[in-house]
Amino acid sequence: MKSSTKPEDICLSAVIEKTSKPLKKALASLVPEAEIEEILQDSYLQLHLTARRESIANPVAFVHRTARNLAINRLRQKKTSERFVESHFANPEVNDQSEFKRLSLIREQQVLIDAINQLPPICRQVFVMRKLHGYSHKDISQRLSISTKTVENHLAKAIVKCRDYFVKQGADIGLISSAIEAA
Amino acid sequence: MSFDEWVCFGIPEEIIQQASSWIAELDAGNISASRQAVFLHWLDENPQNRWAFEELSEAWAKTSVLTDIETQIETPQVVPFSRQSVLSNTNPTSIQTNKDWLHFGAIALIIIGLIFANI
Repeated sequence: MKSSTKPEDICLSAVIEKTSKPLKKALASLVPEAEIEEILQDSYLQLHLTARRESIANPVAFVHRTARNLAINRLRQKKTSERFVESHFANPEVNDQSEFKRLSLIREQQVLIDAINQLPPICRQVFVMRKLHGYSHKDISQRLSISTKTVENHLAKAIVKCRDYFVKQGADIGLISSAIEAA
Repeated sequence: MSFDEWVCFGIPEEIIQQASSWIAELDAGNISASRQAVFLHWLDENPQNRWAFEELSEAWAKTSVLTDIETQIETPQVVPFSRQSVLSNTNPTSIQTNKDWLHFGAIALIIIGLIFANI
């Protein structure tokens, strides 16, 4: 009963046509050239397999997302050996998975608190009013006598600065673990 | 994705800023149909645009569950350094402090010596 051209095959080739060139370019800033093709193939394979089980609303977005996850996983794995030394020294008593998860959650929350605390005062106040107190942009603009556009700008700035802080934290951890390895 | 260094890893600063602006604009909740069309076009324009937007959106969404940590924000005692930077600074600082005490001790001895010499 199966015809040689199944609907998902047609869809797949259209998606490949549309995504392969921009994805290659974007992946080039993440992984060595030799790995790009592998990641692309894996992404299309996953699209194909998933499409057989469920309908995918946006196949292009699916492939973009999958390729990114595969690339980041590879980068993460490369760092795992360094990180293992660090986590082993930091938590020698942690054996079970749930305790480890609990500690990572606490650590993640602490990083976020620190990130928010390093925001410039007005930026932090807008962020807290929006995300913790749940005020609308309009309410915030009235209470602080600023325009809603300025509220938006403060929030956008808060996002960028928090992200910069996460990156800096990651770099610090990397430095410590390489210092331990060198010792 | 969590609050770690992989958020927007390898994505140009310019795209990160565009993605943040879109998140803030969408967060206002009154986006016009024409702006929404511009946004969707931007999202599809380049894989990096979608990566940046999705990763930052997730971090942004996660911060909504933070009400229980409110007491730890905007209070002076929480602001100081991260544990990492304290850890990495510990050794140099303590050595420096010891040196300072040595200098102070040496000067004190000289002064005491001078006082006793005068007596």
